[in-house]
Amino acid sequence: MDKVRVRIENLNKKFRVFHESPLTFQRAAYNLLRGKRGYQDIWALKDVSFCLNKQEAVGLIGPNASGKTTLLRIIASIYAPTSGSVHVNGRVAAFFELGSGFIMEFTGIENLYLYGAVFGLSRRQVKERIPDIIGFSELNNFLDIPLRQYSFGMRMRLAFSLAVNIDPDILLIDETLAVGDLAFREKCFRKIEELKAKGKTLFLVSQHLDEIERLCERAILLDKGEIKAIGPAKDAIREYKITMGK
Amino acid sequence: MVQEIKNLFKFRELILALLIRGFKAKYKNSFLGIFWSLLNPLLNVLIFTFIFTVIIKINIKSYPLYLLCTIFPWNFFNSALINSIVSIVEDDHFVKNTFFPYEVIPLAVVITNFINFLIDLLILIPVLLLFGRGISIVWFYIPLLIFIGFILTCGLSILAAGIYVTFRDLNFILNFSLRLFFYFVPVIYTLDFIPQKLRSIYLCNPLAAVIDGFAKVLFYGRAPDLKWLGLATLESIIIFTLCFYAFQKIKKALPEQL
Repeated sequence: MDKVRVRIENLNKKFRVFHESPLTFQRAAYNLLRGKRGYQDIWALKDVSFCLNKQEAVGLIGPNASGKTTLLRIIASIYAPTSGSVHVNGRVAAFFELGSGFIMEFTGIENLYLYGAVFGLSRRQVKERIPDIIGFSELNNFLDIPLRQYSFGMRMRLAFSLAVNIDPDILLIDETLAVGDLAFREKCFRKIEELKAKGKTLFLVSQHLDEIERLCERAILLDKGEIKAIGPAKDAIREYKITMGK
Repeated sequence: MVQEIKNLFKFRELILALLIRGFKAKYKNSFLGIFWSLLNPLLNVLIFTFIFTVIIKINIKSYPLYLLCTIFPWNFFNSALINSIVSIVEDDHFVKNTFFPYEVIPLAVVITNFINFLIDLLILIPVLLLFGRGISIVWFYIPLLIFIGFILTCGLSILAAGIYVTFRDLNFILNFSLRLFFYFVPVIYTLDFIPQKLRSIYLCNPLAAVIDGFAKVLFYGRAPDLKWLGLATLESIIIFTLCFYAFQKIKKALPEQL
């Protein structure tokens, strides 16, 4: 029981998509008067149940718009579930579109403090970790320039180095490792193995199936909001290839 | 509710970081920035002085000085609201990808404007002295006036920023309302212009009571009317509580609407 970090049961997520987006008071009043609905409901996740355990890396695969990012955002408490239950036991760090939470006008260092603050770390706690973060990212020469000047790869390095050094129990990573160069990716993979050995839980979204196969014991195949396969990574990947082949 | 406010304290580092960003964006790291931010209210002072002393002769002695005492509190309220309403939407990438109490975003904007306001007041002091308004014991009322204005602005700004996520024409409504509201507070005229009969209704508006308070304390060197200030304090606390509570209700649904 204690080894379960994330337990999700019968999770459903509905999005209300307005035809006129973003909505205005004017449009809302118009819809009301005309008796129009003006929106449609989309079920992004349907009856999803699974667990993530300590000391494992789980892959999340599936075609675009299958609900992968939505699922990650729900685990990170950014979205509220429409129904079903989500239990998270531990501190979550989530990285979507890596570096999207960064402020472009700030330098690398300032962004580290900022992100640490979002994660609930004090300035001092971030400061203690900075040498490790710098060491891992190999960005020593760039930390005092604004993030705007960074390339995608550099932003990803910064974000990943931060993510693995702030010591979360559960790390959610959304399609990000791919932008790193060969050497850095190798380093990330080793780091992920290391985190796993330390008892952390990793949940990775990726279209790079070889990455998933290499890092994850288990994988979940999501399609149109439903779990199509869950089990050993190899099997889920094979299933995915079959569905895509059709 | 108390829990949520305590929670804000935990995120003070984040608020600080957002403040620094706010100031950086505002002043582009230049010292001249302070003067740029003064330019807008000062321009208004010039315009109103021209209209009300050259074209229409208003019966207020040292009218420009009166304007200087009232325009800064108004300017704080006005620009804090205008800047904060769009703040959550402008930081959409932040809200969509991280979990934290989203009210810190508009709150940081209000605080940025608030610090600006305090600087304005500091600059005003030598001007007041120059025009023969001595330092007075009634200045002790200033913290209370500032407090009322601050929490009133905070409450409204947080809620406005939250609603704007869903209804993107709220900023037009806000701009329009602020323009109208400007004439319901004693910035370009004194309280004496309001007929005695209507005055008790007029002063039920907490911002009117606050700005009249600034006029009394800074311009006339008199104590403000504590009855109205007490009411304004109460009203502001209620408005803040309601707005903050309403924001907590809609907060969960914000990220998916961005």
